[in-house]
Amino acid sequence: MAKVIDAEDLVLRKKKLPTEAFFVDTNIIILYKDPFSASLTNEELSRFSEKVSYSMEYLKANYKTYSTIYSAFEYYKHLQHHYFTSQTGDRFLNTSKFKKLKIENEVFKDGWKRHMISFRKVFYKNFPIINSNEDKANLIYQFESEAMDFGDYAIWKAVESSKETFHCIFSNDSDLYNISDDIYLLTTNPKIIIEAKSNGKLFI
Amino acid sequence: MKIIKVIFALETAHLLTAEKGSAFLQLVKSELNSEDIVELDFAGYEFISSSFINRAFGDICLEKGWDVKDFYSKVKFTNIDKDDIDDIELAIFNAKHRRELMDSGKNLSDYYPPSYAY
Repeated sequence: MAKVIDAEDLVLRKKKLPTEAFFVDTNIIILYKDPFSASLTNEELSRFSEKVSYSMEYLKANYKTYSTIYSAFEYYKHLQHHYFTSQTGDRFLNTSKFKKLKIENEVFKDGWKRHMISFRKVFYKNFPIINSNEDKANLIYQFESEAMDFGDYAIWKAVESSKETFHCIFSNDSDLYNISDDIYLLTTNPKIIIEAKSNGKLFI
Repeated sequence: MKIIKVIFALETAHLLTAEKGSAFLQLVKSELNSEDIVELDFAGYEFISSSFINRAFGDICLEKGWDVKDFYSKVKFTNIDKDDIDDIELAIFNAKHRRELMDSGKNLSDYYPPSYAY
């Protein structure tokens, strides 16, 4: 199990991370950017987003912040899927229809262009992608699907392949609690924090 | 043209919380309802969050049904990072779209299902 760090408590008490850098998981990027302005009409998401922004401001000012190419793929698919649904009301992404709308519908085209400007900025400016050293050719072969999603697994292995002082992931995904204990899991998820406390895995 | 210095009005350079965003909207709302353009001067700010942006700018566009062009007929930004302007414009686009769905009697949750983020 990962060693858990309560991100809000760390920021509130101005404690130090045990690493010089941390990686952000896709769910944190979604909460931080709130690309579809969910917080406009969803109070609960607004509070989650605010918690993450509050922690991120302090963390980014004091530590190196990275992402992985796997998060970029996941985030792109999140944008594509949710943008399509928001514009059409269709729950399932129809890629042919998406391509057609992107060419023929001016409003659709304008909105997608704005999302893509933001997408580039997220992974160049906010959370730059690190060229990680995991064994990519064998990643799928080694993947155990019972424990976690492939995206989480790939991010874990990318972080694990980086130098030891980078072994920290900021995520609210409870699956990442089950990774090896040489990784710190920075989180604002109260369920993970309570679980870690009861297991003696709450680092600070 | 009236100029509002954002960090002096809010007494912080950290434009972070939804609460601050709502407070800012209340401060500028009468200006936005007038015929004149109001200049929002962000000089000295350090950080602006999506929660702040949605409350400060998204809410009014949702209420009025403003698109980006309508918004700029009311507001001029100065001393703000271009990337942050892009984020504000995206929030306005999202707000305008929600308003259109609401006006046409559509159920918002069909178009914006609960996020998988948590």
